[in-house]
Amino acid sequence: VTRTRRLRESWWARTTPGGFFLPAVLVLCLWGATAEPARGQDEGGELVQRELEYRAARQSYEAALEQLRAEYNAYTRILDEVRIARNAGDDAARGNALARAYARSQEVQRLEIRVQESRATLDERREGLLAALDARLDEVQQRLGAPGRLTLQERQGLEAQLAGLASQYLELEEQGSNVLTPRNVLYPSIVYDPRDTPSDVLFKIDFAEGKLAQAVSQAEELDGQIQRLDNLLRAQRSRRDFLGQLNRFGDTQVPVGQPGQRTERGEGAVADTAGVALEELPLEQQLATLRTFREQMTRVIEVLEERVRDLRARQPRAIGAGG
Amino acid sequence: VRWGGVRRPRPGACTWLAAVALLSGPADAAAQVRWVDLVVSAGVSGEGYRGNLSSATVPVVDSTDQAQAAVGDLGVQGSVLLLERPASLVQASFDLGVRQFAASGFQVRDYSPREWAGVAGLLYRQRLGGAGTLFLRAGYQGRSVDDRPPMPLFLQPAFHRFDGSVRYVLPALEGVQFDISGRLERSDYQPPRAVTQLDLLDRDAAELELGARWGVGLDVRFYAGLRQSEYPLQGSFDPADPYRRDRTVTVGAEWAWVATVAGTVGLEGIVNRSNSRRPEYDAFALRTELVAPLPWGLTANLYGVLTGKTYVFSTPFARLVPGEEADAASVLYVELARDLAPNLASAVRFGWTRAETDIGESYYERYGVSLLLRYRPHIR
Repeated sequence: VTRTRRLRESWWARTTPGGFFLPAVLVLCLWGATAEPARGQDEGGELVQRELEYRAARQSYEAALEQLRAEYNAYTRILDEVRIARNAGDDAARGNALARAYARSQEVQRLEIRVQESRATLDERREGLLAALDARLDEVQQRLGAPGRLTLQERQGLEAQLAGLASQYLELEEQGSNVLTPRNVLYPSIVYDPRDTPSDVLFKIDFAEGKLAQAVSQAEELDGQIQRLDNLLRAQRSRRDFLGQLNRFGDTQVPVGQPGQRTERGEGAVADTAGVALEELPLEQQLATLRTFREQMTRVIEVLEERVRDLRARQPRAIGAGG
Repeated sequence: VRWGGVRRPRPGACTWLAAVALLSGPADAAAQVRWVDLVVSAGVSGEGYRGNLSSATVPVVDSTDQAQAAVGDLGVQGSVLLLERPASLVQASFDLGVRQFAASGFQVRDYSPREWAGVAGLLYRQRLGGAGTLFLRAGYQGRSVDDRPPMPLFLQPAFHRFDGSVRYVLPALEGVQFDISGRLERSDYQPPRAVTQLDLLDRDAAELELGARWGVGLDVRFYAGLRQSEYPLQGSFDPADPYRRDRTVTVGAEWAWVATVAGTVGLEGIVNRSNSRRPEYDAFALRTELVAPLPWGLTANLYGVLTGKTYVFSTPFARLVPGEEADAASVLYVELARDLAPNLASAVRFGWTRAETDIGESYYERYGVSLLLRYRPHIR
């Protein structure tokens, strides 16, 4: 924070144009390395290395986010299909669309995790680059502050280097707070644009509210399904435990059928138990899938609520601008 | 327990060690395998027994006609997916338990029977594209009993059993799904020194079953099976064919439904014929299971069996093991369970059994109430 404040207050931060910093820094690093080979090579090399790592992390994050954006688009299209099928009373189409939505939600979850991981790496690389810049800035400042050892040409070179480094530092910090998040890429069309006319804003509000109502309704339906499956799963577990404990010591052994048969036919018989258990397994997986889907619906609802709030807040301004 | 004259750890001990090993490492193993379920259960029971009977399979006889016991049991049951692919999977399952009785009310002395029971199985499932699903399974079941008491406290005898099965489920054809299964089994009973007649139950068996299932909501399965059993230590009283061989035909139907109250009802008819006249019988079994959610987070479970058995020829001497080859039996268990936490459930269970033993028209009864706890460590 101290470094940032100091840099923002300094003259070179105010005068150096953003975007110029990277080639300038690289050139100046090389220049610094020429001026003082042993020390400059190490520090310049590390800075370049950190810069490359940061760039790779940023590309990786943007690629993951782009994939998530595409997946969100496909996902929201399927949610529309669910709504259309439900409104039309077409249960078969709705079931089909829901099945695809569940499958998509797994992929969305996978990509969301990937984006999170990429973001963590990006933040880490940014911190690393900031630390390297910080060290380099200190080092250049120390050299500038050393009395009577620099020629005018060297001093000007170091000052230019300092300006480039400071500019890069500030821009990097700004990038940290302006990174696109998964929330930004969900429903990208329902975002306020300064060029929107009042009617555009109203349309976007209506559109977002429609989506929101649909998502809330879908979430309520999911809650009911999850509750039902949860009850079913609890009943199944209870039944399995009940029969398992009864059969464990042969207390339900009866004198007909297979002698010595541990459990009853088709239910917990050793040969079939595993098969039955596996047939039950999808219920647990189904519940997990529904829960994932429900979490994503919560996120969709939160984003849409945020967008509606934002658009409503901008509505008078848009009307004013349009009028 | 001795195998081949060499003292070895009892199967229970081995399986308990395996259980401890498994319990200690689910989290570590999670990277390689996936736990389908793991439940540790414990219970205490009060039980009563009635019936002044003798049994050919218990070394001691007691003149009491009533006994009681305090019982504690501990068990662990679980299944693990060792391999999980879209078309195939391998699942291991196990169930291990120990039960300790403190029985009183006998004339001669009090007894402290202890049972160890365990099952382990390995299942391989292969989906064959549009051609159905194939299941292969191998399993072991064993139990041992220390200080086996006289009647009327009947406990199943000790044995080791190995079995293997193959099951093929065809794809549904116009809503009907056919299945065919085959199974091989070898059972080896472990008699105490004074009751060597239990060895007579040693057998090898092979069976084949065909089934057809259909329905949505109310699921119905009809099945028919044929079982061939050989008892290499049991005489047939026929010098030309000296060892007992049974053929058992089973025909049955089972209705299963999943709704607010879910359950199954099964009715089965059995015809057993043998080269020995004594064990030839006709029988039926009616089974019911119900599970129903109740208010206050309670779940009710019911299990009931009613059987009837008629021997083709009356024989003047005792039959074999009650619960194995005796006559009619009725079993009824009711349980109320409630979750105390997401991974902890408690239950109260009431049980009643009435079964005919070696001696015709003589029944023993068993009734009890149990308090049970079930813990699933993998659920948070």
